[in-house]
Amino acid sequence: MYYYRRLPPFEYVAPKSMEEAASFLGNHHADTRVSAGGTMVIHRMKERIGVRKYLMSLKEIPGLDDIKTGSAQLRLGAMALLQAVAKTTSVKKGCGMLALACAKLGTPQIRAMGTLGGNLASHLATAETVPVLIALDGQAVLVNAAGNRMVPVENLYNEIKEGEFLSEILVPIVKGQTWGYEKFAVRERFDYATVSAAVTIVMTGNVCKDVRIGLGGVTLPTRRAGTAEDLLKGRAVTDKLIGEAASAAAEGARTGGDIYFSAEYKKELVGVMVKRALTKASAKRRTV
Amino acid sequence: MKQEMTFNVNGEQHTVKVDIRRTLLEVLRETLGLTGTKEMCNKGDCGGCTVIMDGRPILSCLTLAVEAQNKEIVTIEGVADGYTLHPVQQAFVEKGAIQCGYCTPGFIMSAKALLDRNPNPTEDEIKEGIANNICRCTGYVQIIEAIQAAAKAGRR
Repeated sequence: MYYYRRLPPFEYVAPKSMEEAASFLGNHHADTRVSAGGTMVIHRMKERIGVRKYLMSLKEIPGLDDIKTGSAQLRLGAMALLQAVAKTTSVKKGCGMLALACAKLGTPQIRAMGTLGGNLASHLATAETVPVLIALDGQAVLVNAAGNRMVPVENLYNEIKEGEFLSEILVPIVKGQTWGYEKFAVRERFDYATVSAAVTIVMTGNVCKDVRIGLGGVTLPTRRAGTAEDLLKGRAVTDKLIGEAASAAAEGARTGGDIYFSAEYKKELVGVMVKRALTKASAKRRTV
Repeated sequence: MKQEMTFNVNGEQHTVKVDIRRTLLEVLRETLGLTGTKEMCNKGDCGGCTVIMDGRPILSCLTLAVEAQNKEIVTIEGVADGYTLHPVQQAFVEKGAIQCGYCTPGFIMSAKALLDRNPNPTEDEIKEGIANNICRCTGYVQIIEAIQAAAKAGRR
């Protein structure tokens, strides 16, 4: 792979409104790369990957970085900086797992440049906000020239089409929900997660009423550990059951090898991460 | 395609004609002649190009110049007060936190950004604050000591 010092030629487009952006993208989607914070897109362009005629930046659209908190849900603008998501008090309170995951993502510089929407839409197995928003049952608002539509984050990569961009992420605030988030990275404060696990759980006594498990570092089609969730639902949560669920999650996860770790090792890691996240998430409610 | 752009660097306004595909790093070094900011990996890994933009430490190699217009940019050239070094610079000198010196401007900008928002950081917070900066002479211990000393000096 070559890495060039200079960026290739392109035309820079910075729409001032959502309508303008949607209309431009509608007309030129085949020739346009959308950029949010730019940390990934600029890097890739220096590698000459994904270079298109136009680079459309969303930075000039006012209000796209707003973070709004209601009693039942959080509304996070796609251009909200990772640093802002990590530090906003209402996010920490209403949705602690998302704040923690953003605080653990990358480095101070990356968090000061990168955005929640950019990370989510990056389509990378290592995008750390994806498993978290899957576990939180987040919804993504997609904008196209014809209007808006909402899709679950879980299906985002299947749903998003050429000519669409992500404008907002909606996260429900669920009463009584507890959570656990685990990230494994070679250098904890620098690297993206090799594997991560995000768990939200609702329990009555020791019994699991509802649970959602999102996995990071695994490949598509799904980053949700459905079999593990089914094992837990309606049953009393014990260490043994957590162990079984973690094994099921590892079994069902599709992993790919990289220069550091083999696919098999990552599968093992999925099991360990899910076990730890489930133990943390359930510990606040469990009495046994 | 060149375009006229206005930058506010270290309190001075600069209006220059720049190619739209230039990064902020390229403009700082090649157009404005501010070569204190270093180009190292040029891909966001090493932190050598760190500058402070609107109070946030950012990687100038991954920032398009066109997107840095009308923001307040502080580079290593803008931290000292005349001939009086900034407390972070002074501490780097005193604690021997500089070997070859190439990574130093990036470290100082990261440290300054950290101390500006958290004047009294723990050792862990310092490590977190400089996580995006790489020193291949491996003087990290002295660098951390220097930032601690700068924090102490700032508190006096």
